[in-house]
Amino acid sequence: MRRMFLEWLRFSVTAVLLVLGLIGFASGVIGVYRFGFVMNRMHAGGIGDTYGLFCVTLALMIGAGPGMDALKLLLVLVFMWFTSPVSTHFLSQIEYYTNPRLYDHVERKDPGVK
Amino acid sequence: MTVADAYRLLYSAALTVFAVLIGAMLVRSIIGPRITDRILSVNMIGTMVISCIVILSRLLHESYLADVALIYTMISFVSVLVLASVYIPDNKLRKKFMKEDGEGQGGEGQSGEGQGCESREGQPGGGLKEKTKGKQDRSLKETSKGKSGRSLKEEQKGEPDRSLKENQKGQPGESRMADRAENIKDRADGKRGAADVS
Repeated sequence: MRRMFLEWLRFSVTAVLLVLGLIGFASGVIGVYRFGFVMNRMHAGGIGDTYGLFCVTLALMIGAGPGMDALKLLLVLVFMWFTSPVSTHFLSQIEYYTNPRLYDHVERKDPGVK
Repeated sequence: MTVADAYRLLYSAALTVFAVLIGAMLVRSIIGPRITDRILSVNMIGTMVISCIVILSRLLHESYLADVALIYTMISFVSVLVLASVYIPDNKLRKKFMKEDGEGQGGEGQSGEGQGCESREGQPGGGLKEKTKGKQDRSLKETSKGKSGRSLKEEQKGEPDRSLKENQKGQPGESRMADRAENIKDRADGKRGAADVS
């Protein structure tokens, strides 16, 4: 009986975390639709990359229990956390070098103007 | 209802929601006005696919699918790096860009309409008439030398299709302003500029 209760407790924690992760991904998608410029959209995309994946992976780790599976999921999460900021950085560099109307959206620090 | 059934139901529902979100991001990557919007959308699709694979590995009790998710993470990272190495110029030209930006004319150096929400629906090269006069033209002349010192009007008559890649290899003296002018010109012609190739 007690063991059954613990199983359901683990399931409910998994469900809550998975739903939180889905909310994170959904808010990222909504943000990408609602923002007008790509550097704002990166902000919304970063939510899915960090918070959403964190919640989903943590939920599955709790659902899987201790073992090799959980370690693999942790590896996916850690790798994504390292690579996501780097790819965001490169994306903003692409925007900087190719957008002809960059300064319609981005303020420029201008030392020459009094 | 046992715990295993409940897990199966939960994971299936999550996969359905992920399918809807991936479809939404796919639409975004089609209508994204610039290359960076598309890369961002594809990157987010990659993240959601990784989540889907990870959920599937628990749903099907196949442990090796977590390895597949790890490889997928690496590949989606490498794809962004490859696209960045295509679109970001090499080091010498990059310093030139930085210098020009530092000596720029002021906040409104590049005039013209925004590329935000409202102009995304309209024609991409809407306010082009303003581009050919005033500050923009002056800054173009001042900041660029040699071949790229042509004004924007001449630029519009020039040879029609030079891509960004050819630019940075052929004439290293091409300035950023000329690149921007060329982008604008390509939009005016209704073609896809180098920065708009999907």
